[in-house]
Amino acid sequence: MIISKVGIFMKYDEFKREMEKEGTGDSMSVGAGLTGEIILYGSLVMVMFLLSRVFSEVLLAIVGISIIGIGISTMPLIFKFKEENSNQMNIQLFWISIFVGVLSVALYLAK
Amino acid sequence: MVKKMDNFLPLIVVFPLIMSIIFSYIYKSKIVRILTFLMALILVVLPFFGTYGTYFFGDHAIALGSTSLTSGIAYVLNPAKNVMVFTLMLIGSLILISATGEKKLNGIFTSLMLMGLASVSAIIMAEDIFNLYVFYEIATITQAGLVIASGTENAYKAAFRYLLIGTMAGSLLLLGIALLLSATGTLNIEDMRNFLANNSATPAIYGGLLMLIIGLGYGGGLPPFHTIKADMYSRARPFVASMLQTYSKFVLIALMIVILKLFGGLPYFNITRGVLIALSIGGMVFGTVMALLQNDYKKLLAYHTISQGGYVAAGLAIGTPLGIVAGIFHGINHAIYKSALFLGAHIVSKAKSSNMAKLGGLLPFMPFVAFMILCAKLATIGIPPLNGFQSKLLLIDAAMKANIPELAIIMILVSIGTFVYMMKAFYLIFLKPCSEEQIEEYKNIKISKYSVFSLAILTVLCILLGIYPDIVVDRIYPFAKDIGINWALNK
Repeated sequence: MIISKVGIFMKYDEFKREMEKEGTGDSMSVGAGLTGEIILYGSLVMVMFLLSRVFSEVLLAIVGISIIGIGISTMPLIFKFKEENSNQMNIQLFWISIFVGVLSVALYLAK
Repeated sequence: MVKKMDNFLPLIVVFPLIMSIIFSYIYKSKIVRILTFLMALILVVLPFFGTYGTYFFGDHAIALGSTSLTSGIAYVLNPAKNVMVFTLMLIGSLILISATGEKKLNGIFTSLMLMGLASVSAIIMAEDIFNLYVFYEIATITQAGLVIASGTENAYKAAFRYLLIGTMAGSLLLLGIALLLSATGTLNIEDMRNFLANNSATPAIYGGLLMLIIGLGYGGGLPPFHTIKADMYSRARPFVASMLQTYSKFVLIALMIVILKLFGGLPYFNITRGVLIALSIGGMVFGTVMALLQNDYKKLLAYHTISQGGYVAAGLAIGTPLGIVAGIFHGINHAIYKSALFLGAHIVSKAKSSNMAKLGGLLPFMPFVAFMILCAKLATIGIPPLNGFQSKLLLIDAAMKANIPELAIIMILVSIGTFVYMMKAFYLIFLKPCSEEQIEEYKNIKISKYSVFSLAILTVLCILLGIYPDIVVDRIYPFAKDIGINWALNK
């Protein structure tokens, strides 16, 4: 529903309107949604720091966090995230196949 | 290796299995309720039947050729595993007691519950990897059966999806075990560990490890399998969901222990450790963010379960003795307070809805229940002096000592998210003003004394383990020291 109407460059002033359309526009739900958004982006930043330490690449952290910064200012991630975490079988199978592929590559690199 | 069966340890698995068959035959009988209650009492004492050590079924082991490798169904019981089995059986017992207060109790439900308890106990204690796989599959089928027992169309769909993905994940796990057997020549975990430590890795071993991780993800509800698990929990009746999440948590711990035991000390495991930490971060973050977006209380709790599974996996993935202790302890704590939360949801669902927008104002009608639910919520957030605080503190300590402060920060971020949605749920269910019509409806709610009793026991455990965490931690530590390795990220 709401997901299909969310554009890549949705602004945060549209955030509440999008949640209202889903019937969760009360301040408590909007606050919870924004907390989710912060946790999502905050975790990405932390993961980027961790990766830059593991691979000893400072540039990775700088570029990565810059991209995340641009993202957080223009693009609420949470609606897309909700779509990808839905119960639709096709989406689940897609992510399982991606997971198996990434895992295979990781273990291949372990050689 | 000890080849004796000088105690009744196999009864922990065999007795619930036999009773499961008997219950499936007497499913319509009037005595089911009484027998279920008796079984609930027996389950609590069952873990004390075994003494510590390694045991072979049938009092024998088969020597393979001229090697010292052995074959046969073997179980290991040690203080750490005993605590896990006891927690599992205690929760199973309390859920069965709650079930005796239900109008529609039948033998099939008790049968499935007992089969699940036997399977997960066997998974925890199994020292034979094929035996572990067999019970892993039985646990999968049992969980799907318990969801189907809810009787709704959505429950059927969720169970069918779970089984469909399980067919793939289970097959891959079996393939992994076959690859490891072909590479090492044994199914015994201790023998396999010795072989892997003294021989170089082959593609078959890498393949086996890959398949084990897929089996772990499915059995434990880690990404990308988390949505299927969350769907299962939310479609089952809430008190059944408390059992399902307990099964999943102990399957996750048991499989992580097997992976750590086999590969934990090997140099090529470092990248896999990174993958496991990534999966655990995914579980924590995805579960919390999805929980924040839910309006249905059952769905909120379902995604919260995924999030806490991420914490358990993170501790174990770190792989240091402290990390393993923290992971297992958090798993035990989570099983306790989450069962309390689902039982609370079961009581709340008597108000005809689990949609939080349609609830509110329940506090005056069930103040004692609300207090116990609040205790469980505070435990899951990590507020002292409750058990969740102790295990989260250990987890963060383990991450800091492994020089991964980023992981510790993510754990704290996720705890903040947990606080937000748990308090949101508490407000919407118990504190939000409600209409006169709702008040009239609430007056007719009949709360099962059995459910309240089970909830009270779990709440007491939350407080007890929060004040005296050493009761559990001291029992886990020697085992964690045996399989853990001390390391830190030196970058």
